[in-house]
Amino acid sequence: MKPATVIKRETVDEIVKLGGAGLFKCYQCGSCTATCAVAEGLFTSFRRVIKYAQLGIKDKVMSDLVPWLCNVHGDCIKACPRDANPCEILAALRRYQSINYDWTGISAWWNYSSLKAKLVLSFTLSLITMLIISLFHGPIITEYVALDTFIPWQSLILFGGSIISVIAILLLSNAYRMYKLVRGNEKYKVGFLTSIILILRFWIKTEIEALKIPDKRVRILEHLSILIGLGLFILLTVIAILYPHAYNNLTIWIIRYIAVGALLYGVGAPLIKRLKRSSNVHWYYRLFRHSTDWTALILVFLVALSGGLLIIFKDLGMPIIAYAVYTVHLGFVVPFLTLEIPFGKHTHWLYKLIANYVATRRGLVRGEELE
Amino acid sequence: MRNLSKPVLVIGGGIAGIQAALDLAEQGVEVYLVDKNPSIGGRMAQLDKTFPTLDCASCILTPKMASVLRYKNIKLLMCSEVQEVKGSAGNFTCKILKNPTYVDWDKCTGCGTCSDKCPQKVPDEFNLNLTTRKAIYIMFPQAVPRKAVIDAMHCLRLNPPPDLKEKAKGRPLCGVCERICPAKAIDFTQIPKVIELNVAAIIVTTGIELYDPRKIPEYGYGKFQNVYTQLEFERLVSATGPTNGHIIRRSDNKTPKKIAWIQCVGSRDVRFNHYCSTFCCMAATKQAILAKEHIPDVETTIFYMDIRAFGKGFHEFYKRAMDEFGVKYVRGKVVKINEDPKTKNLILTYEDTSVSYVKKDVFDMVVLSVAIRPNRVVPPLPLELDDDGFIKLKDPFLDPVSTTVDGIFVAGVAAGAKDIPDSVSEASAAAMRAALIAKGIEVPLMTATSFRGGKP
Amino acid sequence: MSEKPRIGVYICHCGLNIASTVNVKEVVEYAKNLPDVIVSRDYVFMCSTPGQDLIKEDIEKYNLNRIVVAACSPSMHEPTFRAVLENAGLNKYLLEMANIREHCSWVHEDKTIATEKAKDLVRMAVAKARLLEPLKEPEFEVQPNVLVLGGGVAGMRAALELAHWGFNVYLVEKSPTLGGRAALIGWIESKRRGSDIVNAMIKGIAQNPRIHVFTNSELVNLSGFVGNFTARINVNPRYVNEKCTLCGECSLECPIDVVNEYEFGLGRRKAIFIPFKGAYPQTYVIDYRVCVKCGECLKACRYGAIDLNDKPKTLDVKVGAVVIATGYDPYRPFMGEYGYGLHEGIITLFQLERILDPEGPTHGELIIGGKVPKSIAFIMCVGSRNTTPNAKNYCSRMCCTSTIMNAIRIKEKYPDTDIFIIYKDIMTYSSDERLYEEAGKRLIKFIKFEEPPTVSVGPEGLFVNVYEITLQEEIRIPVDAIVLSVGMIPRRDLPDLITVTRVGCGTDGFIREAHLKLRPVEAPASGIFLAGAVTGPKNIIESIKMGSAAAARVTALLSKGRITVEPLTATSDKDICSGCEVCVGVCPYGAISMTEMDGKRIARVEETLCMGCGACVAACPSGAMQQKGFKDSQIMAQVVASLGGV
Repeated sequence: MKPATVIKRETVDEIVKLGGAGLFKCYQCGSCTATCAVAEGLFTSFRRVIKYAQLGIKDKVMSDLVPWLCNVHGDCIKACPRDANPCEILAALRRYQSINYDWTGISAWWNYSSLKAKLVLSFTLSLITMLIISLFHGPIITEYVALDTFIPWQSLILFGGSIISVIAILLLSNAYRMYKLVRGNEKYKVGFLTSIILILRFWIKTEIEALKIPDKRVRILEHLSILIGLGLFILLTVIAILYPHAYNNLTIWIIRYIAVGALLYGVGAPLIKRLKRSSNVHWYYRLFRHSTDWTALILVFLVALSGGLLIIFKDLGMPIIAYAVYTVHLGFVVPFLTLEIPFGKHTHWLYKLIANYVATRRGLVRGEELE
Repeated sequence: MRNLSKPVLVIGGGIAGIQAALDLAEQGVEVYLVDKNPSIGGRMAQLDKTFPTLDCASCILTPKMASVLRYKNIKLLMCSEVQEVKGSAGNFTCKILKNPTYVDWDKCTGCGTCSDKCPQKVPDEFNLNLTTRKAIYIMFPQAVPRKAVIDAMHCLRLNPPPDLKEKAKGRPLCGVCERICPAKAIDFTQIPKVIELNVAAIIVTTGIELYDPRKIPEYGYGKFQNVYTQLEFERLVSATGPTNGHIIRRSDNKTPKKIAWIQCVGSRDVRFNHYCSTFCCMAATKQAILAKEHIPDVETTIFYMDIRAFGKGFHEFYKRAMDEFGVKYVRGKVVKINEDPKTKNLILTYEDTSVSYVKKDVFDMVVLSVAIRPNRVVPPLPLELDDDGFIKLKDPFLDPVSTTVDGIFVAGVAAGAKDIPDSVSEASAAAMRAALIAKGIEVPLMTATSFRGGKP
Repeated sequence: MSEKPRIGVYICHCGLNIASTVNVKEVVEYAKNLPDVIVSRDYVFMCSTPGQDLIKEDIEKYNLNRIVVAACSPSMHEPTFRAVLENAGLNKYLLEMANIREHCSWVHEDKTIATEKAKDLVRMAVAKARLLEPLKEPEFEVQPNVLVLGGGVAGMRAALELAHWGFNVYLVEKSPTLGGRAALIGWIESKRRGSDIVNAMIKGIAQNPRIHVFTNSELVNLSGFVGNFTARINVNPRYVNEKCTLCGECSLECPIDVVNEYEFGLGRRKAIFIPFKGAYPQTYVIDYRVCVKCGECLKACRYGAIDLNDKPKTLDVKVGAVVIATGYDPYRPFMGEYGYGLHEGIITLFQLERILDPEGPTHGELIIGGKVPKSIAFIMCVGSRNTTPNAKNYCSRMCCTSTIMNAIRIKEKYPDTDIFIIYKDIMTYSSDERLYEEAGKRLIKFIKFEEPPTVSVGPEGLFVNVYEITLQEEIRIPVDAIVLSVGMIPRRDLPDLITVTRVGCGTDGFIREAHLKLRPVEAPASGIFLAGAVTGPKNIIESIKMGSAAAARVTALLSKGRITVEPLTATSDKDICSGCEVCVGVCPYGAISMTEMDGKRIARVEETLCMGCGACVAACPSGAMQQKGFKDSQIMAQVVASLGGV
């Protein structure tokens, strides 16, 4: 068998720069894997990819899907006898892998640049968008809030659609690159349907177990809120495109506010906790402070906040303000869609999906409980 | 060659203290050997066999203990603790609190009759509370000095519980030992005494205690009956121990079929103790071999991160355990232990790093190789400690057994985790230094400056 | 044996230890009826003062001349009861003990059987006691001098402690300088080098008038016995005297050059050289083994420091004890082992120490194979732990800590170097674990193997291939340099030392100590002590401590000015001895030699060396060899008694 390959020192430097500061504290005892509720259900270990990272074996790091199976419970942090923070190391590995899945190089820039640089780029895009809108918007109706006159649906769908298409192509191409890397060389061991059932069962089981623990419960709820918020938002967008008159329907109205509320809670709560520097804030908020973690929250927060204000002003019937807020809202949506989703932390949902699927089909997920 | 001059104080009567005292005595120096227990012997007296030779610990220790008694210039101060140390090298004034034993040791013959008849049962610390002793007791059968001592806290006469005291209405409770002692040695009127000693030098050989595994709740020590510390297992396997050498489980007195040892519990761990406890890899190997000798078909597994078989004969011993005795070694740290409520068996969760996935295994009995810690000596001793709480050495290279205070030396685990031969070696080295001071010999200081010349 | 035996038998209850299983009163009655037993008593604790007094009074009252004490093991209280006899005016060797505790009451549960057995044991002891003879303990004055072999840190430390106490010390060192291996170790801790420590010790030695240093010298013969050894020392010629100013001119002219063992083979030196900067004596020296006496150095020297007529000298010294502290040799990989010798970039750990030493061949610059490596692999356990078929079967103890210390040192100075430590187990015991932690912080990479790695040397460069056990994968690492972490092996000339001093070695080839756990600095032979790596791999601090410990044990032995030895030694009956010499070869302590007496060649046992093991007695075909206190007649009497006779 051809020996595993060459050590690349740049790999190590890059991973350390991406937040893997504890990488070399690890002495490979396996405590983290043994404590992890997810790892218990796998026939593989994330300790191994940490070792690959330590040695700088780039192709093994890149072809490893285990970092994406992490559900960030954080038990490993407490279990580590060397205080190596395996959870953060895995996050750094995910960032590294994302950078390398992406063929455009934008992900690399996004992950390595400072928070300031990212915000500057994002706000520049926002300003450009807002400028374009202020120059090319439709007629302003002051008697009532006519958002679809201010910016006609067709333009919105055209612009939005083209942006989304480009993003989709980027995302899917990166996802395909990832798939090829993690797929492995052997035939799949587990059938398609069985794997779907396995993944669902596995995920539901580990998350329900995690819910029992108070400090994880809060984070799971926050994360769930974001999912609900974004999911509902997508639902609303689809409905709005297909049934534009349904806008004032009560159910839709309630869903709209729930979406905004969920999003605001889901990103706002962690954001506030991260800003607090006191020690009685949960370790999770004190640890995951990479610039991409911040932008993942900040951009969504701005979108949600502006969106929330928008529907409030619309329902209050204040046209001028509503149009202004609409402009700002769309201004924030653009960097979120074009930068954060394909190149930032938010890509994880896609990579995680692929990783879980491939892991199950390759037979890395245990069927039964480990006795 | 030279006449006796000032005495030396040795604090701690374990193997290191015994060796230092014997060396000093043979060099013609008077020695005060202080120990807080009624007998010398220390931890080594609690061991069954020693690695890598599998010598019986008591068999090699008791002759040394008996030698201590024979030297007229070794004065034993048992049940005593050092309270205060003042002064400087050549002239230390020490205050030693001699706790009352309530038995006149000049009369006591160590016959043990008192102990047989005493009505009060107390957890036996020598056997790590795995069994009981009486309120009046001899520490262990081979104790030196072999004399009885009364545990005042638990003695019905000296410390009667309030309800019984009421009922007695002023009459003294109990007095069984006093009545039946053939030598009439019981003396309830003893009081603590403070002895002042003027000594030329002090050797600290205060030895170890175990880190409390309850501080690491994942292992369930204290909750799960069949989880033991390595010292408790040592008592189980000893013929003079609580089960007469039969390895049986606390929960159901059955012989275990599968025993696991977990290494590095609280050692090599930045959350608890950074250092390595040095000998637990070998101790676990030894205990696994002993288990195989006691129970021929038992399965023994040792869970480790690195097997520290670094000393003389260690690697050969480790290989022997694997090849000859079939002891299994698994590289993976056990992170948690769960108990099966019905069988009281233990389920260990670990990652087997040689195959890279998580496993769970069931064992009948688990032995934790818990970290060792030095016994607390500061205060009263005016010494500096290092980051790990061990006594700091002045200069490990130029003055290897000296503490930061001139004239006070340290040997054994008090200065850092080490095994028996290294402790014995250090004890002799400390005795040499102390003897020079006791004889009033001036020793020129050796200093080495750091390298300054040339290109660094 | 002229007088009739008058035996007193004393049975101990040992509290309930004996009495609860053995019916002591019954045994007492039984003993009374044995022939030659005058008095038979029991007491609850025979070794206590009242018990001892009982014996003493009886001896005086009944004129007893043999005592039997049936109690615990002799190793507990034989000296106690012997002292009682002595106090009562009897020869202390007229005591026989029967062990009815460890051999009887503690191992049996059936009281009847145990009592019968106790009676048997007493009867046997009485049978022997009848035949006991008074023995005299020979006492000797001792020489207040000590021979220390080996001028490394262990030997120097021992010499200093002994000299402080007041002994004269003969410090004999084979090489031309004191300092040993530690002087060549680059960094022993963050700010100090081995030579810093060595220099401090040398200073102490040079200033101490009681220490007589012989460098370039060897012990060629050791005769005598504990307290009175005669050591013959050969002092090899130095050819350079104290007029030497260390100018080095001679070295430039010398035509002979050899591999420099003081750089562990990294360079060459001339036949006339100074081993290292702090060498003691501070003069150049000519390596007498390679010098061709061409005279170039003589011409070059302006100070008249060279004397090519210097002759070897021999001197005999009388010493009371010998401390062997001759150290170790580093394992030398054979040609091709892990690529050693096939590439300039593959060196040993000891060579790395020299490279990192600011006073070394590269002035402390990390230059291996002519360049500064960007990546280094350390391969651990080279020559140790059975990793390869030719490797030793033990762990060399200090290499893991040394390797990590050096790796950290390299990272401090060259932070961009990639360092891989390819190990089997990391043996950083005790507080050295913090070094392992530090290594992690310095981004040093660790790779664990079960099967040893292989090195490939080729046009693409140096590669190390290893199967990483925690990854279950084969890894191929390109490196600029490889450091083989070799261990310690016994010195090549150790067999000569063993022949001269008659110490023994263990299966690992190092000298065996008297007891691995409780007598780590003593040889089994009386009067010979051990310190440092000569007994097995040790680090510098441990070797120094052992030097101190050996000094303590020597002092304990010699401080009284006289020693007595137990007389339970073997003697040869000159009338029966046929001179077959079987006993000489059997004796593990070298205590028997052949001597001429009345024209016959007979065996003679040196009392002070004899340990009373009885091997010679068993081996002697003619029965000439007998052990005092364990004569054939005495033992036969016991055997007969055991079968029911009296």
